[in-house]
Amino acid sequence: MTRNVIYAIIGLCIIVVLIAGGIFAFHIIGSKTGIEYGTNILIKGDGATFPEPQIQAWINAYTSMKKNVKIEYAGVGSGQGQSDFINGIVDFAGSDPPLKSDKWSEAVKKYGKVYQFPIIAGAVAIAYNIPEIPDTYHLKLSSSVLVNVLLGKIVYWDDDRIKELNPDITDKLPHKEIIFVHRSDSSGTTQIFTTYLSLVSTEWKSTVGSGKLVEWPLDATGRGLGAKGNPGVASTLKSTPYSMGYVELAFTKGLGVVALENREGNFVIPTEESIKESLKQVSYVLPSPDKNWDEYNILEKILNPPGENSYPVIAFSHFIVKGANNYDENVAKALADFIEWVLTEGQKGEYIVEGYVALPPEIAQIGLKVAEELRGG
Amino acid sequence: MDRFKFLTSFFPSILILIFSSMFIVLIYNSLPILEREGIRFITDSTWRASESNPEEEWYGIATALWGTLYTAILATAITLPLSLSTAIFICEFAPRKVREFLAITLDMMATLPTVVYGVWGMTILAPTVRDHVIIPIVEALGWTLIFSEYSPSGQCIFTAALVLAIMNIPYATAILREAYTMIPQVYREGIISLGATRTEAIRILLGMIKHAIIAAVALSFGKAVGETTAVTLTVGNSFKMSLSPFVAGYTVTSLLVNQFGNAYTYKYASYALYGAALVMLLINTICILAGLTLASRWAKTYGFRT
Repeated sequence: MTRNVIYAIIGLCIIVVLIAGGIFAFHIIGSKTGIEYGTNILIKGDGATFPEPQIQAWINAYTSMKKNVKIEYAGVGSGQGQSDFINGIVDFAGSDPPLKSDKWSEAVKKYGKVYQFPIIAGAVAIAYNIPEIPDTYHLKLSSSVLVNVLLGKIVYWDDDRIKELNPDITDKLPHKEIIFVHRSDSSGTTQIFTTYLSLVSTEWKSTVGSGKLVEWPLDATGRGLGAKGNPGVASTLKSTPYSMGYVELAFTKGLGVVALENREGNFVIPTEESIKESLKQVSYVLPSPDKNWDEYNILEKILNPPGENSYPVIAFSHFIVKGANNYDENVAKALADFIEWVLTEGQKGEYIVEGYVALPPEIAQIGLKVAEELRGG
Repeated sequence: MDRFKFLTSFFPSILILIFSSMFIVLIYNSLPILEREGIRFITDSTWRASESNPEEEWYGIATALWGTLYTAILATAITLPLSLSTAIFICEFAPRKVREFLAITLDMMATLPTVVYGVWGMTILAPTVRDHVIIPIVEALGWTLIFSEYSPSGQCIFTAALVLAIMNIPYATAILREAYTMIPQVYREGIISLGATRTEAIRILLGMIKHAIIAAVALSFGKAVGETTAVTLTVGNSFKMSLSPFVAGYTVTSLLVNQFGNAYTYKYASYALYGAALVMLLINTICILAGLTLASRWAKTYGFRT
């Protein structure tokens, strides 16, 4: 190597270090301004990816008011979050499903007290891409037709059973095979959707069942496709005509959304109103935060709720925290403040990210009790 | 001088230490699944997770291994001719301006994040390949049974291999160019003076860089086996083992990235994923070692230092 090359490399290194250092320095200065009192507090959490955009929005809004508190949340998956929580790596976990009984007892054994509570609600929408159907129309599907499609018994979009439900657009339903796009990664969304299918169909329950990963019957026929994450499913749907799949509500942009038959026999699309209607119906089945939620079969109780205009496939995302004595006093207080803010101010429209639905006060109440406990009140 | 020796040997030893500790961690964490399932972990294609009953859990990585090898071999097969012709064009025929432009383009391609390739592959390449390559082939050759099915989204083994090939071309081309320009001028002059045409000369010169071709193949293959993001977005992620490259498949890396997030909710899933990583590391090590051995043997024949 010639001397010049060495100089050039050293020069480049210095430039890179300077840029990185500059960014870091600005970051430090930026975070140091406006200290209110005491030392800085860092609260760490990780877990579910579904609520991540919402949690980040809360964190940004909250920490811009409370300069001495820094909150980190990483979307690594519910399972990883639960595991990190039990191993003491994080202060709180975000998780779509509550802890399973064995994990719950493991956590209780370690921490004495463990609390779980919903922080935000959402819905799983069934989205489709059929170019012939106008954007203004919502394809209607009954739960039994949906199950028959997914079991492979209904193959074409122009099947009589689908036509029957959609008399206005029978001429627009094409004679094309139905392609089904599902999550390839282990996912709480899949668990919610398959639990719903198991609730409405005993055949589905006995042949496929529910879980974060299931063996989709359509995969064997070549009409089932896996895609990673909600964004993966949504973009595969967009690039694959005559497909349908399930995604979190926020990911339905640019796709048709199915009006799904609810318990009362009405066809309902997922909207803020229809989800709120469902939430109202289920608020009474939720246990108190210090209970083992797994024993209550929460998912089965909240899905397919009664109510004229209830959307049937709704979901909660939860926080999991431990008893106050497991935290530094300051951290416990700061965490309590954050939880309280999330469940009161944070549920107001201005802080809710598109695609999520605020909790009704009765459900937010569950977590507010935890905030009090954490303060040692 | 001794101090210098110490300094320079310090970091390589740390590297070796890190690599072997990774290896040990992988072995340690995959022991439970290997004990439970034995050789069927590799030969079975069932991938079943169960939260309620760990006894029902079964993890076989045959489909993923098949997909990994299939995409990697196909990708390498596409990379090699393309990068070989690019390298020859740059070295032999391209005017200086074109050569510089190509070199810059290749460097840019090499530094693009893999997720960019993945997103492009998923949203643009997959539907295009489906409409203009896969469907015509399936229509023409559907009767051969092998090509009777295809992935409706276009995300399949073939698309993934295509994306991998495009990603690997800059690296393979760089190796080949380097070797080609390293051929001593006397050989070149000798060949020309014997009255060889340009084509004949290139063919003889290519024979002299066999070692670099093997090295390029080994590197492309290794990178293809290990690539994660771009493959996960384009391979289709379906537990289906098929001879057809147009069917959605799975690879070991996409298995890892898809399932690690929630693996801890199951009893054996995380061990199975560690096991899959271990198997992949072994395959890669063997292939790269074999490639390097071959390369250095051929290099010696022509007096290259490696």
